[in-house]
Amino acid sequence: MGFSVSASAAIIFISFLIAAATLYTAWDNSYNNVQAAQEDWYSRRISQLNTLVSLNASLGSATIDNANGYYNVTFHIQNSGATQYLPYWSVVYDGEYRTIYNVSDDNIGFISDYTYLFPSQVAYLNVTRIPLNTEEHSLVITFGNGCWLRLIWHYNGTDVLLDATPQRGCPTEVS
Amino acid sequence: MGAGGPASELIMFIVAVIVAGTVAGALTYVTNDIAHGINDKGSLLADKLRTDFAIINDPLNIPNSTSTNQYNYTFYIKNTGKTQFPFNPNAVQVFIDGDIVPPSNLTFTDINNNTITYLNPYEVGKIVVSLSGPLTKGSHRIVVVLENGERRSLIFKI
Repeated sequence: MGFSVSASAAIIFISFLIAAATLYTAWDNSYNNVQAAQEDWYSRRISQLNTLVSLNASLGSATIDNANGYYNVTFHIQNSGATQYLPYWSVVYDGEYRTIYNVSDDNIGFISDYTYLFPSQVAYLNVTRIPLNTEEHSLVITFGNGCWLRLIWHYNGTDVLLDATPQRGCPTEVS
Repeated sequence: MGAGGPASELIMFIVAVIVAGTVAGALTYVTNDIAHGINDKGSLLADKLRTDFAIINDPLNIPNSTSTNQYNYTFYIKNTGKTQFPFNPNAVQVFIDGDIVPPSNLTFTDINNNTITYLNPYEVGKIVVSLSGPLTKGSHRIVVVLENGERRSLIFKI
């Protein structure tokens, strides 16, 4: 009788130990997984805050080609924050998605180094062959973290003018 | 009667071991079930934290086209998270002004109009929403909901 009780108690005790070890392992894996994901989330939010305050754009120069009926503009995108990786940027020009690695394929592209934009550097983005009329044009630049800058400009007959200071924002969850 | 003592002891021992083994087995089963649940919930939560995307359209200039009795509006989705996510009509829900758009009226492609089923980090994909009637002039709202519940909205003007 005494041995039966000892044996069954030992079996149940060992099974409790195994159960505790299994639960701890599962909890530890999940905790580490969620912790790593949370760090990614925080770094993305910090990157968005940084982008919101440190990236700005202005109209650098414009060349007007009256003979061919179009004009070109160069926007200056100033970075006063963390290093940006330009291949992660996207642009939407007059509503349509365009690539920006090369200006010759779709009239929009960087004229400077197309890799990293270091703090205090300026990226030069060319928009070429814009029809020479007074129609308003827009360019939305979306960065790798989802934040965006929106530029609106038009040609007034003699010069190219930005219609407002660049608007900016970051994606947010909706409720 | 003399052999009854050891026999009953043996029977008691076997019964005790069977009962203890059954209890241990049940405990192991329940523990494994809970452990799988913890792992699944952790993975779901981590996946949701790693997933992020943005609707990158110009809200004042939404590309649209018309085909036979269909009015098509194009929305650009950029994966800004750390992980790829399903990008197809069965995994993504689209609401326009609160009304869900049936999956058969959604087309998911990359920017070169090739059909894709997943959107990789930093990649841009297109959702073409086909409606039977045109959107009225004025402001509208699109909400895009991913498989894991992550969602983004854009208020745009036609």
